[in-house]
Amino acid sequence: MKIISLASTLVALATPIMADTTVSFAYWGDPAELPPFERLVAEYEAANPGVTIDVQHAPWSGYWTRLDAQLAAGAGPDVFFVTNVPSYAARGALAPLDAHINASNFPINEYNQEALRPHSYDGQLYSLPRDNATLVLYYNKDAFDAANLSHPNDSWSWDELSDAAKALAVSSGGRTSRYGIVTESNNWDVWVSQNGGSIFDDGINPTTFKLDEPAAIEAIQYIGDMMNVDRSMPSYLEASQSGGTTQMFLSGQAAMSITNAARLGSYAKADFDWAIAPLPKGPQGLRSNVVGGAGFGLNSNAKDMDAAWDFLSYISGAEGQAIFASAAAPAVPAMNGNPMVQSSFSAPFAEVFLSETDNGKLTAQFPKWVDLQNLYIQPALDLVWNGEVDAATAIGSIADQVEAALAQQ
Amino acid sequence: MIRRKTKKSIVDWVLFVLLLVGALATCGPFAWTLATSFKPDAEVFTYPPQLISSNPQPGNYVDLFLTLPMARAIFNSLVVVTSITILQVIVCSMAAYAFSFLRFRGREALFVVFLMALMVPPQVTLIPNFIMVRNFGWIDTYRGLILPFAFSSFGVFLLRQYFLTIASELIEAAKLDGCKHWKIYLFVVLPLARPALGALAIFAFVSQWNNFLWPLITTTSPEMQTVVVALSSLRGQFSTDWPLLMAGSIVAVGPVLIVFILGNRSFISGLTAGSFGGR
Repeated sequence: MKIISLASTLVALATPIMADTTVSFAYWGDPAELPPFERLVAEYEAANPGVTIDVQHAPWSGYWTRLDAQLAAGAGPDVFFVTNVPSYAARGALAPLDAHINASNFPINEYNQEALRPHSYDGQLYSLPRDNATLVLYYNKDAFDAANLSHPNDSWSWDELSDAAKALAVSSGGRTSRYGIVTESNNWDVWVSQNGGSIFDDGINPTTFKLDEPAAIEAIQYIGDMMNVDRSMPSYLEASQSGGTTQMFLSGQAAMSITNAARLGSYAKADFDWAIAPLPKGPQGLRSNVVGGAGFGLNSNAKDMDAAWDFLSYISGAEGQAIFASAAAPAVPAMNGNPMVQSSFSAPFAEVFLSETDNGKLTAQFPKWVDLQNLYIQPALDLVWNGEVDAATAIGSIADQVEAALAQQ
Repeated sequence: MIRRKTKKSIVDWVLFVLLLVGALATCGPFAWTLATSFKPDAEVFTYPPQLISSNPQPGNYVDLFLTLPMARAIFNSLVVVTSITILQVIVCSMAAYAFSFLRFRGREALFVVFLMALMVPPQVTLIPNFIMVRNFGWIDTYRGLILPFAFSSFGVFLLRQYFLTIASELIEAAKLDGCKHWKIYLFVVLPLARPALGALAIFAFVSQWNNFLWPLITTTSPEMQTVVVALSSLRGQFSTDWPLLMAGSIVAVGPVLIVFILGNRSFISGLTAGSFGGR
């Protein structure tokens, strides 16, 4: 007994005054996305003896169920990966970061300022974006060459895109065996802003609904026409049933695909040549891209707030961002004002991703946005995507309801 | 006679066709899962659909074990699910014994309360259970995965209904021979209730093997994940690795199939083992 107590006294003396701290850290990711997270944790622990990072990984499909249950029970990880930041901030689940940022001189100015907007609520920043889900145009070079079409380039606008999509579409026996292009259902708003339209007067503090104005209607109709008139793009429903942008592009069922850098991994397995081009310009020459990506936030219940912030400021600082940007499945860095982060972004066609990130434009991100979409906007858009009514009628029929819902908040 | 025979064979044929449709409807998705588990990624959604891949990839199964800690996850599932099954059979059979053979005040009322617990969906009790398990410090442990399921009101209900069909003469005979409740429970009721116990065991095993929500919420490290939770990590935010997911599903379905086949043979045969030959 004496020996044991002597030994434990020695151990206690040998460790620094700072007692052992544990910071729990939760994130999602499929197996290919995990290495940078693991590397970050290992490097942080090596640099900070006495601090243990308790890693809580969950797959994307179950992450939110677990996080919401933990938060509802007043628990949850100290630092967590999060999207839909305003709704978590409004619930009081996230701690505001501004005071920590000021106190520790965190280089917040090196972040893409537009990319920070979806991570704030009520004038305070609640999370730091890991990346931006920047969209690019992937195209099947072999299909373009076989059809004798010139490859997409940075001078393309909507007309070139829809003409090429139409020329590449192949139908046999009443069924389209290859579409010109496949896109993702949650990115329809990019087309609206490329045409100079918007969903609301202000994406963060909306007061008026603007989706019923001509510029926005035209953009929605443009998508709808590619689906139902040209039949060069599958409806979002059909695309998801056929495996989405991953499967349709890989299996040659679509010759172009507009999606983000997360596809680089699966497209690397393609048995044809492909390349990446910027998104086309709108008819008036406007460029636009998505803003938004998951970020890292602080749990308002964190036991040791300072230790949690210290870890957060490491993963969201230049070193952490560089690790994410240089991973095998690279994330387009949100801290794109930092030269070290920029140069470590190692994706193929990196320059296209970086320049397109600068075109990012926030369309809507506020606590009620998810409800407004589910209740009004999505059902109306579905009518257009299915070719049942035109965009003006569909959007016009919900404008009053959305205005009323906005006035309520 | 002859007419009767043809009539009977027509009925047989109709039954046969109906059963065939049912069998195809159940086996079809399984066959598709098996076929997809051997396909390369690009062939999963080809049109027209092809059952057999032109370029089979048995390596998918190797990749599965390389990308996920599958062996550990299967071990965890076996430990957790077997423990739950054994505990449920013991606890539920004791409770059912009390509800069937012990006379005490408020017995029927208490039983109704148990039945009401059957009607509360598990989502409602999720957060309270989670808070409790967290306060015990059981997050990310086998205890936290097993003990909340040691009891099931469905199991008590099922066994009580079966126990009530046991002839009271047998119980009385045992009492006359000087048996106390423990002996009656162990040597009379349990052997006679083998089919019901078997049914409960199969049911508990299969439903717990497929349980997703609780293991997802109460495990935080990959070392504690069960098979179903581990497999769900193949469904990413932006893409799903279908061939690996299907290979994983085939692997995960194995233990359930084995339990079902073994269980069917040994337990259902108990149905014919009667106690009163002539009744």
